[in-house]
Amino acid sequence: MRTAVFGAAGFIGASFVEHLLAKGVQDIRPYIHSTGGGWRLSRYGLDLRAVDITDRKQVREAIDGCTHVVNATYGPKDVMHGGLENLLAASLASGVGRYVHISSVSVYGDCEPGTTLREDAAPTEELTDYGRMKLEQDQRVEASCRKGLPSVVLAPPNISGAYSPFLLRVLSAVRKGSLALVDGGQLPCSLVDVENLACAMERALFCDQADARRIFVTDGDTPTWRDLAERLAPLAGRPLSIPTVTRGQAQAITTVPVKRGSLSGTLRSVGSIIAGPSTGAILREDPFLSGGYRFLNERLPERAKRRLKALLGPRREPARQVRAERFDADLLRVQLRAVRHSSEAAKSVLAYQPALSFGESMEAFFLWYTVTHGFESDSWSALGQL
Amino acid sequence: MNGDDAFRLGLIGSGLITAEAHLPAAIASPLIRVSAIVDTVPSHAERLAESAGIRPRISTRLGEVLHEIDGALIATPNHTHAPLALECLAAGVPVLVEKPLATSVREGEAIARAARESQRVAAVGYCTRFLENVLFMSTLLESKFFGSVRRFAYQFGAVGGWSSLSGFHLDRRAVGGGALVTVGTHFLDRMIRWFGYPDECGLEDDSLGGPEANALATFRYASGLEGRARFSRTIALQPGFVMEAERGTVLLREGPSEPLRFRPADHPIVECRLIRPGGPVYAEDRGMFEHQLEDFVGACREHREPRVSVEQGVEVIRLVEDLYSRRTSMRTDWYDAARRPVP
Repeated sequence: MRTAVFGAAGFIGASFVEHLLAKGVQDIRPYIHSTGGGWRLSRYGLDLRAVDITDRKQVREAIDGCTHVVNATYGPKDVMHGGLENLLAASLASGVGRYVHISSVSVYGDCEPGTTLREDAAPTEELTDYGRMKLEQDQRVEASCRKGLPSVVLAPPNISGAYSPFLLRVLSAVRKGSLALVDGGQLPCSLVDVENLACAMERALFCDQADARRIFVTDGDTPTWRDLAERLAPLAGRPLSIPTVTRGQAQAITTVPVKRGSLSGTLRSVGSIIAGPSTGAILREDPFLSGGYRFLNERLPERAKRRLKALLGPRREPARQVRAERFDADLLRVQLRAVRHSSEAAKSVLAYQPALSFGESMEAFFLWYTVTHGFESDSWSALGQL
Repeated sequence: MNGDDAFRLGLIGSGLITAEAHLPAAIASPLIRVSAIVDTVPSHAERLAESAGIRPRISTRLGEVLHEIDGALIATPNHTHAPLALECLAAGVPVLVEKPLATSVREGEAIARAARESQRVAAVGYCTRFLENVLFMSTLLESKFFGSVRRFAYQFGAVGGWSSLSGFHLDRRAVGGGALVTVGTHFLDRMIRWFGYPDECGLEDDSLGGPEANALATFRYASGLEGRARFSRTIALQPGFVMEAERGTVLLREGPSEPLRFRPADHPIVECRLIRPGGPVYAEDRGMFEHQLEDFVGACREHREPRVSVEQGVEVIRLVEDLYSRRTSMRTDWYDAARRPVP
């Protein structure tokens, strides 16, 4: 068995290679995009090769002789599409026994808040650019699977653990005071520790079912955003006094009106609140309005519901800081999703069991951060003045 | 100048640092003409010359150009610095060697010896020594402006780093170490200039056979001064230096135009910017690489020591060797409990 890992310099790829090395797996071919990003793995003394996956010949040579291929690459559109096509074509041509692809829960878009999402849910029409790109990738993998490439597609939510860019971002927001908790932080924060994801990836190399159907991978226990903020607050060096906003306020901050000052813009702004993902949850709780909401939700055909939502709903614009607000709009938007992801399929298909709970995952992050950043060392406060 | 009187420079190595720093600096200087580029991959050198709009001699062999140049700038993988510098000096050609001077004290001393015997200049590319904030810090320390210094801390961290064309930085042997060498030696050089060679030192790093990505060095001086420096290629750290002294705290972010900030101990609510009254030593509208090259040219023509001498380059390697000889492993066990080897 020889496993090629593309994107090995990235957060997921490097964590996976480290996981395999720790498990004693030796025959790994870690491929990196550029030599500058190879430091995390080069410390093992590995032979790291730079491969441009948009170059068909390079990809063919890299996959030659490999029995398993893992794709953890990330990049601009030509990498995500053209590069993926090259990986799939070379894997098919080489008769690779297993192709493991890292997808994302973002392919489902913003679902009804409060739901527990399953893999067979239909993606919403409103996807971010990233979600759309990952969805198109999944479709390409499915097509290759139909042609005979046994494929497993794993879809993680936000990824936590050591080196986690997501946690570093939340930590930075806590430190700067730009994190606001929606509804007091009670909304769920769907997470998977990168080591748990690596366990699932390892399982995906050997599992029986390889039909390219998407499989969620999570930690199992879903913390709230307040749980997450409380765990990170000590690293932020400040007491937990994180401001909170209501869902309506969060919605207003995260929605950018299309035409300010015009009637259509005002209507759309109002519509964005009415049709926003948290409105359903609010209406359901109202004793007077819940009946009407239930009627509309249950009786209206899906197509009509989508049209209504598109008509009234907010125009999704690329994630960005809203200048007028002090809060990080992206992190508010992530909270508003308020969706849990079921990892039942991962358990049954991959025999996946998370190695770390949320608490253990945060301990791993805490230890990693303390060691690598020198947190609480003699020089920590001095350097903090820079 | 750039005519017949111009200093004929040979660029040895046409990788990233040459393309982004040394060649633009050489072209910007009126004192210098790039007359040769040597690289084992001639297409790299040809592309570089073409993109810069110059027509130097391109060669794959150093020996072919030595008689046509007044000095050589060696910017190749670290482990090749010594043999190339020795070849130049043996032919009577002065050298400016990219940092680090070599990958061992033995090699560095051989270069220093060859420079002495040939009476040619051998300079080392610790370019940050041409920055005004670094130079003024030296002046203020020498004049005891801050009083006695108690402790200092330095950090530099970036996710990833230079993507060298050859990828040599991923090979411990070619680098002569890891992050300590690639990002740390600039600071080690400055630290030795500011405070002298430490009396004790220690190192923690995360190497498991390859070049370490994270290193934490500690230093102790007989005066009681203590310091530590953290270098990382896997995490982002605000790069800079903090020093606590008798008369206050000094803060200096890494960068060419960063001010030297001072918070007096007796007025902690005040932060001053320290500026040299007569203006900077080197004009700040020109980059440090340009000043470094012109200092090298000046040293060759005036038969004087360059700002960063070969002996100083050897001192840095000696400290690197001292640190590695005392290395202990950094903790990396955050997932050990979750990972059990496959039987």
